[in-house]
Amino acid sequence: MTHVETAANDLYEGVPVVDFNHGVETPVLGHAQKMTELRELGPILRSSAAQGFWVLTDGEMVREMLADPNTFSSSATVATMPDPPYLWIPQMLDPPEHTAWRRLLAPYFSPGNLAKLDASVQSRCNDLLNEVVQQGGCAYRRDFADRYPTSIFLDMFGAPIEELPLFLTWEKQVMHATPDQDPDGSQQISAMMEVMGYFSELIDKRRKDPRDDIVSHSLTWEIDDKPIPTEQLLSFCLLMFLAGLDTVSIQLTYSTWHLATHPEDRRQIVENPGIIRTAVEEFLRLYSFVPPSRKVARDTEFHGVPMKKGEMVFATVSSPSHDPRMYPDPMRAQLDRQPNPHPAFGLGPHRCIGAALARRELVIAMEQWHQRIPNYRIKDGFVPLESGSMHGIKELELVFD
Amino acid sequence: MKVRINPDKCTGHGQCAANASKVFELDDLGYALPFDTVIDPQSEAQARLGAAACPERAIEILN
Repeated sequence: MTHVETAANDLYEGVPVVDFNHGVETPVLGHAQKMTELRELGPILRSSAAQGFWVLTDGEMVREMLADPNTFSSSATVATMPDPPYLWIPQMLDPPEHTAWRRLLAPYFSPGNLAKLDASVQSRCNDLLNEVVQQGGCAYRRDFADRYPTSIFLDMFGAPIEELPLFLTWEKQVMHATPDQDPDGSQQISAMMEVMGYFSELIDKRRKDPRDDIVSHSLTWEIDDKPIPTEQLLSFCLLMFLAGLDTVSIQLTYSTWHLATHPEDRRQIVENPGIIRTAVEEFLRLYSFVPPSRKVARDTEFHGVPMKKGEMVFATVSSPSHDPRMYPDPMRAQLDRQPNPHPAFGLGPHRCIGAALARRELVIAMEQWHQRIPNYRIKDGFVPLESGSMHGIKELELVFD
Repeated sequence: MKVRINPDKCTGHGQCAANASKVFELDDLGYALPFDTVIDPQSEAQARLGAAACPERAIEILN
């Protein structure tokens, strides 16, 4: 059990100060537990880490912040980096620029378009499981989770699946370095530059030889009746790369960790696969991991706390997901929970555009996996850890029974 | 019972339709179709479920 420390009587604008950095490595559920402990100190705190930033621990306040892009801008979304030298489009845009991009992207992620992808999602899952089933066990991320949703996404986007190992390496450098590994964020920046270099070449290739993929289509898109400048297209590619590559992998790994360590829940899934849809939602809630921090756009008073333009506010979707006012006994998994209005995919204009695709991938994986591998556990002696500001379990070694 | 979806709050989570498919439908882009109507008594339970499933709290129930 971690212990939350504050300096005695240390207050900043009337709220307690904590030395809090979300990116540190912890055992599974350590990040969520930390947020629950911080909540005991107050709904709004001040972290002394990096340049200093506000920390929201209250679920309802997080919801409020995400619904107010005029006050809480997405121009910076990592609490320790208020002036990032990079741009992720459209994640770091505010309405109305953000709205224009979402209109262009929405058709690719629509229910109709996803129905067309369903057969290839099923078949990709099945192919990977054919390999995994024979092994008697696996390194879950390496052998399944990092390969399954990624191929679907890369295909849709237009980047070659053969490059997956390279993309995964970049992904880890950009999203999952701990503060120890990359204290000033320079490794992260240099990895992003490499990604953009790669996409710059890909764009050139698709200009000469367009295909039916998002990258090729993006070359024809217009905003305000003008083609989109290449620089912005690169910022868009960068975001698609980040958002599409390991979010679903992380979620799959949490769900599998849960089912490997809670045999009674796994038995429910195996004996009653009809419960899978609501179980997927419950795991999305319980293992919510995205931290949608925001930058204060104008001096404001937020629930009595004066926040200045330019300051960062840390938030994580696990706060509303684990809000005991909404979910009594929030850390207990209730696989048939309905309704389950969790914010794992975010709230407001930046609601995850890939949510429907992600859900479909999660349901299909849970169905197929448990038809073929109903019994499994974590390998003796293996200790799973989660790390990264958008935290995930790095690897999960399983043994099949 | 009257049910209204606030179109300004709908961001396309699709959970209304996922939980109450007989009451709520989505457009081609995954956003809720306009909804501002009186529900028949047999559909009330479903409508409440769909409304409660919305992460944005975009669905109002007015008795």
